[in-house]
Amino acid sequence: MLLRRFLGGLKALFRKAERSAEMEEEFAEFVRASAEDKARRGMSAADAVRSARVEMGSAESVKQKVLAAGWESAAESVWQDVWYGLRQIRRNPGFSIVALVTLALGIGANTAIFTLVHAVMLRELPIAHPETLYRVGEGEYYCCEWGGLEGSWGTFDYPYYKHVRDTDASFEQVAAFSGNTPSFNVRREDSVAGARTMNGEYVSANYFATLGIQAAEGRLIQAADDRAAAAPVVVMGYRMWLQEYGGDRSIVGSTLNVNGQPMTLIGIAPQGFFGDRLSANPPALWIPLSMEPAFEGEGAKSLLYSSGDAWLYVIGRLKPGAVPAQVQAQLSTDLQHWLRAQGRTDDADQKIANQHIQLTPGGRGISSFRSDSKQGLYLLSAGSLLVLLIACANLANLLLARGAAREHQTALRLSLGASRARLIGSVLTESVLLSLIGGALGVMLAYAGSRAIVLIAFRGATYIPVSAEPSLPVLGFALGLSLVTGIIFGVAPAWMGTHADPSRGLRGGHRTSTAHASRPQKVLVVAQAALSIVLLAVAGLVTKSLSNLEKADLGFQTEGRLLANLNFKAAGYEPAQLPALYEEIQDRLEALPGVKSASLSAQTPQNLCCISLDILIGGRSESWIPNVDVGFNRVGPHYFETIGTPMLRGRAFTRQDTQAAQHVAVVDEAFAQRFFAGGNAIGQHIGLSLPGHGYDYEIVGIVRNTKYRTPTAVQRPMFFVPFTQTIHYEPTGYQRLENGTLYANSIELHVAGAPESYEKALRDVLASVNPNLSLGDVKSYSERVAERFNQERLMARLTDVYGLLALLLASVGLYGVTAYNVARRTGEIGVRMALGANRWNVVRMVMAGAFGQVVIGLCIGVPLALVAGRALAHQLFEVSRLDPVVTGGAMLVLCLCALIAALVPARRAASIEPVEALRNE
Amino acid sequence: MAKKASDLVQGTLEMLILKTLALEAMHGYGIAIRIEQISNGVFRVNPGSLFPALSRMERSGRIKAEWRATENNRRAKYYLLTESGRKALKDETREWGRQTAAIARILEA
Repeated sequence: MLLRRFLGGLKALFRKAERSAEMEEEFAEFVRASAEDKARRGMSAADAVRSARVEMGSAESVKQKVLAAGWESAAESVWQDVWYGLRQIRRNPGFSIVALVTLALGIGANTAIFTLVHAVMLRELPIAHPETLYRVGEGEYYCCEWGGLEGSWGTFDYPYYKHVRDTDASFEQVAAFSGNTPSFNVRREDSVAGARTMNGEYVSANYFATLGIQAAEGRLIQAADDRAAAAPVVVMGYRMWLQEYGGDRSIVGSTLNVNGQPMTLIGIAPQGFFGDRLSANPPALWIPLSMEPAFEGEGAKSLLYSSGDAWLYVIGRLKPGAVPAQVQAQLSTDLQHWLRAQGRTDDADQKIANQHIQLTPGGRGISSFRSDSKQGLYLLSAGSLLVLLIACANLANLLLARGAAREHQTALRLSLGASRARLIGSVLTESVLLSLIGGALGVMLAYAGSRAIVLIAFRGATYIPVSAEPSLPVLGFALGLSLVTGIIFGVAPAWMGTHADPSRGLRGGHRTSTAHASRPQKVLVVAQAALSIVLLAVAGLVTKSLSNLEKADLGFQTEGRLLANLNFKAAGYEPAQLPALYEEIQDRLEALPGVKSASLSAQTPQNLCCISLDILIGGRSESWIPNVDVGFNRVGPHYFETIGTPMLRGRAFTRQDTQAAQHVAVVDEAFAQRFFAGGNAIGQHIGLSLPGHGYDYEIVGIVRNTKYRTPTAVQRPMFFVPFTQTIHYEPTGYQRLENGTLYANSIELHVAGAPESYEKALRDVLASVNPNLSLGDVKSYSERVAERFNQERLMARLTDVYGLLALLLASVGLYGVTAYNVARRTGEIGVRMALGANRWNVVRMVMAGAFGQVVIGLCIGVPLALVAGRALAHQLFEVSRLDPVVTGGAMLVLCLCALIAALVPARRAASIEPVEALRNE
Repeated sequence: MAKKASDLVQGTLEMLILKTLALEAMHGYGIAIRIEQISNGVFRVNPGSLFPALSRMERSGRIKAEWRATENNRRAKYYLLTESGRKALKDETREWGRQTAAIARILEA
């Protein structure tokens, strides 16, 4: 039935002329038959024909009625509207260009942000059936050496993973992978090329099987590989394979030297698989969990065999029919049983009852980037939507003005019998056409824009985990947005333009329109001004926050400093070799011309961080120490002068602080203040929070507070110890930490001149010490700190752009409405001037009208801006939400733009010649 | 309100056309005059309603059209009932009967 109607319609469309002729013949026959009939009943021949024709009425209108009965007529009128719309767009190039540019900017801004939102928030990992993949636990913790009782668990120890894997019946498979992605030195066994640093991840045997991915080359890790005695194997990421080995297939099956250990490269992960998390530095190597002891070098004390060290993420594939909420409850109960069975009763029983596991959808991976950037992306989405709204208001205004100009034509069409629906349809078609073309331009803008955004967002990253390529969902979004936009800005003008009173429109003359015609336009300008002030104020706040961050006193100097990361463990050193090695490196670097000082450290501010510990203070009971997180760092002798942190009292470390000498520590102001307020910290003793360790270190110096974490984070007390002095601890976790921190992770140089120019010298020195010591992230310290604020910078730059766009659009809108009103009131102004008004009166009248709208807009916008500032407050750094400079500045800028936008038409109004104006009437 | 009334008439008109064509194939004027005659002039079908209705019915397959010679040897478009038209007439007649009986009961109550 439907099909037949459709086919009939198609036939009708194509045979329109033929059908029209047929109908004419049929109608003529009708009239003839009718006339004959009437004549037979006694009418005169002429009367009969006339009467029959009257009955028939207009053959044309009957024909239209018949044609309108099928669907094809609707399609045809749409086609006509489209054709008409395209002609309108071509015929008014000025209007069309303004409209298209406005639309391209508005839709482009939204599409660019959506590209990012889609890539970061919505895109799933390239794995099979992501919807059945769940992560056991939530959040991102991977430093929890002691596991502790976390409340909501995120990472687990190996025994608990095995327990879940072997006992939980709700999962088809449960896999684990290390939270940390340590760096490895990788070299081809048969190659002379130097080592390459790659990030790796320890994964359980069923990791790839659980994710459901297949190897691009060779095979992936299997159960037989993850056993204590198994031959060592490794899987490499596709990107690294291409980048380092040019996609050479012969490498699969060959032996790689990984941190000095021969391992067989068994396969390459598929293209597009960037690991289980969205990261700027994703793992490029996957190594079976069973290899962890061999690499981390702790033998039986390694993480793998210990319990209570939460270092593994756990993911699983739920069986069909399993209800996540039930599985989650079951897991929590099970965890509490497990903790009790493990004898973890040192903590209150009640605390154990609080331990729980949250099941989180695992299909989108684990990403701190995602949760960090969520707020920012929401803000940017809101901002770009506001810009689009302002753009819509502008376009509605343009269409309204044009509709008023076409009032006469519309009235004529209405009185000739065109239906209002049809007229509204044709205006809407035009606006939707405009917005579709604008949307297409916007997609191109968005492509360039999202590339730029990604570059700002991932400044300094080795790998950009999100793609700016427009994908199908992004194009769909742009299309949908364009359609909605077209309808939003077209519907009011279409409605108002076609509801004019035909008789009034036809009476003609320019004096017809009264104030009522421009009221909607004024409302739109008020709305634009209000939205612009919101965007400007937000842009001001975010920019000020960024500048505060960049100017924040971090407690050290970034100018003239070069920073690099390196891995001594991967180069194969044992802890005992390190002190002499560090001394040699420091001496050779400080011998370089232009190098003022050099140092190594386990951590560096704004770069690598943070280890927190509980401490003891010699001579004080444990309960005296409040539950305070204390930061810990191990540094070389010239560390403080190299990074430019001033010593306030006492001394820094020296070469005399050897293992045999008194163990010494340096603390920061916050430490001295917190634990020795009012007293002198120097000479006091501290140690880790273990019985008998309260006198391990003697405090010999106090340094200024240094911001290791983000400037917004609360400052923790910190203490520093030298690389040359170590303590032996009984508990394996403490001992592992002690050994781990002996390996320096960063190297710092204080130099004269541009820091970057010392990169080669630094690399040469290290290569001459040991070619296996590869350097990563060699950067000036200023650049490293700048990268920390990538997200804040992105927000500031984009909100600035949005603010400017809003301002520009609102100014154009105000100008348009003012100019239109001046043109409309030419006659009236002429009369006023003829009656004695001078030019100044006219300028004042026009300006008062324009500023009236701006002031109303400000009255609405400023409170909105304050609300927005309040919502943003937690994302801002040292900016009060009521910042008078920012809000006042935004108001000033808007008023200034309004002044310019209104002054041009006002001058034109003032230059009206009364005689000319009146003659035109 | 006005739209509803015209809908009803429109539906009725199609039923009347079906009934008219059930006896023999006819051209447009023939149908109009037959309905007028049988209803004793109560229903006058004007071309503005008749032709759109015929077009609709042809599109939905209830009737089909053929060009034939008239008794005066001119060409005219004749309309014939199809099988589905015959069935539709039966259904609509029954439905009409049900409705008028119901309306009559309500009016008499």
